[in-house]
Amino acid sequence: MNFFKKKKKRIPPLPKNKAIPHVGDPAEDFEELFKKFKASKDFLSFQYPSEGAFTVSYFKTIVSPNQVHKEILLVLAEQQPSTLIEAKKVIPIENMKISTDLKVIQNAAMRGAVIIQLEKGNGNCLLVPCVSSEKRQISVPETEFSVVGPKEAFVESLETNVNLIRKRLPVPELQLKEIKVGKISQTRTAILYIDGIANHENVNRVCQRISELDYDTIADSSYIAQMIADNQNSAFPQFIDTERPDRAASVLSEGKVVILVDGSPHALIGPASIGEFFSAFEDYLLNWHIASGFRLIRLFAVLFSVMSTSMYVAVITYHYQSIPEDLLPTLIASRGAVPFPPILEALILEGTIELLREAGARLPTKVGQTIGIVGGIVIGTAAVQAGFVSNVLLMLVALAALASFTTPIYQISNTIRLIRFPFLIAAQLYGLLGVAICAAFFLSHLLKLTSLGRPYLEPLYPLRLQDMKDSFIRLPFSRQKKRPVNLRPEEAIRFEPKQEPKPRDIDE
Amino acid sequence: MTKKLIIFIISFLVLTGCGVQDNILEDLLLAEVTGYDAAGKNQIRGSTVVAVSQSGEKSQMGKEVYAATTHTGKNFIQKTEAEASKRLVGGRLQAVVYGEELAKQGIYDYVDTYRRDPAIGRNLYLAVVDGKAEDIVKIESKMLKTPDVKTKELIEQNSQANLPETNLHTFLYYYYGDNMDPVMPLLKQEKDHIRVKGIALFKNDKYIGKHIPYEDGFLFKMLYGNFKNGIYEIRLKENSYMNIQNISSSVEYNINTNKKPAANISVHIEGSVVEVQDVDLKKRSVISKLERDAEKVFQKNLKKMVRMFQDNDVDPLALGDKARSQIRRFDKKHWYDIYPSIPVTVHVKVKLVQEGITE
Amino acid sequence: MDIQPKENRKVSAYYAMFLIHKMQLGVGILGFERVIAKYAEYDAWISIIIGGLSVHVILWLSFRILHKDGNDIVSIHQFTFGKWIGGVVTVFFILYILLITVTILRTYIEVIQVWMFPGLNAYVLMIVLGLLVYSFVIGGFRVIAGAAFMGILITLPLLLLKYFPLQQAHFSNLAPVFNHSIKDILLSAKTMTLNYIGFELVFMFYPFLNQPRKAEKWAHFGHAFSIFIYLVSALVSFVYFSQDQLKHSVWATLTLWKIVDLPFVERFEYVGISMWLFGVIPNICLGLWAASRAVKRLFYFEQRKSLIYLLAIVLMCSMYFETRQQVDLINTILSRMGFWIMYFYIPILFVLYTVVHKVRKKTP
Repeated sequence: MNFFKKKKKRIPPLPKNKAIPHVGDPAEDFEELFKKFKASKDFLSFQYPSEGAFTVSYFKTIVSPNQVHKEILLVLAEQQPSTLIEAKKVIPIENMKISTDLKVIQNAAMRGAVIIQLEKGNGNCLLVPCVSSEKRQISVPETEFSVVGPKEAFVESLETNVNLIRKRLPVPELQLKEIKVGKISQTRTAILYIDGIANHENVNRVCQRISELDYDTIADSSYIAQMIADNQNSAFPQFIDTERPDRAASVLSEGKVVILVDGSPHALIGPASIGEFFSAFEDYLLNWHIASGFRLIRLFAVLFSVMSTSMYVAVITYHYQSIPEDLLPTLIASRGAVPFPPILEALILEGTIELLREAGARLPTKVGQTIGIVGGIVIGTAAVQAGFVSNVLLMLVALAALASFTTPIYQISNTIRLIRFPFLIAAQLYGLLGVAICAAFFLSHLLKLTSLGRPYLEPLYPLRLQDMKDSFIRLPFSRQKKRPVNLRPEEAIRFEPKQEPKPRDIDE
Repeated sequence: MTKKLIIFIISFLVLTGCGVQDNILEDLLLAEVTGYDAAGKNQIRGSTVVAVSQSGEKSQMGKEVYAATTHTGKNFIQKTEAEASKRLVGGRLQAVVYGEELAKQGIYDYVDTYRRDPAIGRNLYLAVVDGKAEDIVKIESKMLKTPDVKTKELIEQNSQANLPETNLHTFLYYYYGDNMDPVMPLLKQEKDHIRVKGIALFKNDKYIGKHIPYEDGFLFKMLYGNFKNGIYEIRLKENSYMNIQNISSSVEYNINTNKKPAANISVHIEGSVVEVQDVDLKKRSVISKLERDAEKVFQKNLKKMVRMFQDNDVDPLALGDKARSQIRRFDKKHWYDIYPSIPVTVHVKVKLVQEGITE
Repeated sequence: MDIQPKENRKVSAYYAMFLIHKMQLGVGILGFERVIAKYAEYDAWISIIIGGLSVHVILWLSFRILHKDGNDIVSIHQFTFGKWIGGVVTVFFILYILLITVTILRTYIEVIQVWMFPGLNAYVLMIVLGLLVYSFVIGGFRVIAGAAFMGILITLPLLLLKYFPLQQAHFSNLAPVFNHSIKDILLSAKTMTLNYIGFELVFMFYPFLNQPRKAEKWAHFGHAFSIFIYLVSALVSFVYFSQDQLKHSVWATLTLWKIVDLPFVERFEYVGISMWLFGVIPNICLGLWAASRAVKRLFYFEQRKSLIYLLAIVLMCSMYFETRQQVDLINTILSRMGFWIMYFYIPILFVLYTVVHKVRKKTP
């Protein structure tokens, strides 16, 4: 019975008194540093303008060649400075540093600085930042596309992204904190908030969690979102990620905290409550009646998407009494030829839809479209005609899949598609009661869930009627006088309404 | 973490091991109409028509009849299983019909099984058959043109006009209620059709063998409660008839609380003339005269109907219950004794209004 | 020695309304009509009001006790009776709460066994529900209050279904009013006690309310709302069933759901019973939370652990009651106990507590 016993792996004892060098650790002396640099073929080091003069070294792949030629080499050749301090004066670039600290030198060089030394081997270096960053043009948002409204989306450069937000919020209170995350990637992560509106507790919580992160490479903001989530085992995303700078700017002025990560075209917004995942930014661009209507439709779509197949399984498997009379013949006829029990039928179809989606997502757009058509029409029709699945269920599953894509935030639509499966299994076990039990489990999870310490189900629970104005429905802007209570903003009033004129009498 | 996992695995195993019995739709035979007949020697013959699904995309529903003779009502289902290919369930039962002979012996036992069964709905229609219930069940199995259950549709449709609402709940309501008696539709087989013959009268759970004819169902409903719809034909004189379409009819009971109880029923009916012969409807005076005539006819017929109830000692109008609600310290035993001899007066007020798009 | 909950574990005062209302509206509502109509017949709706008003008085008394020190019943008992006797009384209180929990759980399972799955293996379902309850209670009081609130939100629309039976109503069933002796009406009011049981938990969650003095008003609202719901349910059942018919209907409200015929779902009782899970789970959670909290306060036992033990006890007890008769029995026992606790124990506690308070104040 050693079945459950853990096999103890024998780990060789570490050699004492000898620190193991980690990747990214600074070199021990200058020689070694240059040796490390020179191991890469793209590292250049040469004497300029003449033998015995300055030693100029840089990684040619990350510096901007134009700048190096015109603003450094040309200046050094023409002005002929004799010391590093003189050189620093004549080179027309900001943020130059003279340092002997190996760590600083290494970091600067790796971030595109040109190292200028007076003579080779001397530890004193002038570091001239001269980075060339390749970046994409600002383009149209893809996952959060809107028909009306701004068409800018974040790109992979932190500076551009901050620029996109700053130009929308030209106040000095918009503050930015920068933390480097990742031992190897050294990813710059910016935390943006408006001082005086955003609650400091929220800001501090974000800063603290990010600075406590311990990981080697941060490739995207999604890494951060998962790592600093309140409950990392939850299927529900606890930060909204958006690619729209207008959305980021507008939530900043509500008192939220925005996290931007260098190299990621998505901003994270927190604290988030579940209602916001179903609100598109386009809702603010439309008339409030229409926006409210759309939000309710989305909410209904989500419920339908999660529940419909499990309801089908529950009713067909256990509660034949509950089927509406006029629907009964249709259902019996469509189920008659199907060789599988309802649960298997549903799992097969749900699986097929997931397959199609996954295949479509991994392929280039044009091929993806073909997959959609082939899957949707050919496989669907064939499956029904072969009597493999019933056409009623096919319709339900297709509708449910469609409904799950109505959510404006991509992360939550994945969650919705995933949580369908526990519901399906519960429906097979206990019918409608099983669906209710499963829903209760999710309710208990959602009630416990917080986002940056703020309740996730707000404004439903804790019930805050004043926050309902912009959650499941959106009331007109004139009613949005106060910022959401949930965020505990330091300045609650958004605008002071002017004295409303008395309603005029008819024909006055 | 491992502890949690073990708990989870155990609970999963237990769950899959001890499931609930499933009722997968297409693996069931759904009974639609069940009939009960007396079969002599304390035996009953039960028969039921079930919908049978045929696979295929545009398949029609077939129907089959199962029948068996047993001693108790529920038992017959078990007996039929011997010939059924799938499990026979009653959760979609739409109507239960009772043969005349059985209904006269009392049907409570065969209603009670349905009352107790949680799978049975409360909108289940009950009816008495003039003849054998099995005949109705057999005809039902031949009506395949529409997927609906014919017996149920028939009763439901007629409940709009000349039949009172009678389902399992109302039967139980009147059966259990003191000083009131249930009624049921009386069906009859006519060649390959089913016809509503009238309203069967019950004393408790026993059919007394008398019924109100279909045409007079209108009159019964006038007394039974407030209602709309329905057409009644009034004979004005020899060869002169008038058809009244009911727009709304309301009824009020007044029971005298004196030592000598007496009941007064007053009916207000508002109707429109559908068809009348040799009468000029434009004159107000003519209409008033028609109203008076109609009132007379209604009063006469209604009085006759109530008299008939009293003579047979049945109380489908729940006169006794109405007395209870109007008399404090009501003595229901005493009421039983005096019910047949209580003087009942009926007042009818008819108002004819113009309807239609031309004058 | 007094453990006061942290500020961020508390809920707003108005949750007293939801908590008290939810606790009273358990499984009883699904079939209480038959029981209360036993004596006063169709005058029993008066008994609902009378019973309800008397509970208002008891609730008022409870808040008088609670407002004095602002602490829960464990401290109150210790203050009044001393450490040892107080502790014993608290143990009895814990047992009473557990009995409430067992009754609710077992009765709900009974409903499922009778109405939905006749061949159900009750043990398995109980374990599943036990896990569910654990998952809620582990989140603490705020989560349970949320469950109570969401439970009300989900189950309240079921009240609209009363529209269907009203179409076949016989309003004359209610006439003549006051046709029964005062004694009968009071006896019916006594049987109504079982349905009002549950508000006693306010003795446990009182310290968890922000501004508890404001909460008193909300608690009364919650109770009044319970009276209203019971009244509506009883009246609808009374006009829908004839008297003897009601006597034969064990679960009158469930029978009413049978006739609900919506275009997308027939025979609503299956949906209704499933949805009622949200009406039952918060009660069990709140009961278990209160019991485990009391154990923590009394024995300084970690609540996380005591919860598991108490849950096991509740499940074991529920499994012990197997037949219909036994389920009726625990309902009767709870009804009796509830009656004595409500109308005798709480007033006595009030008097004793006030006296002890006065005496202790004079001799500091």
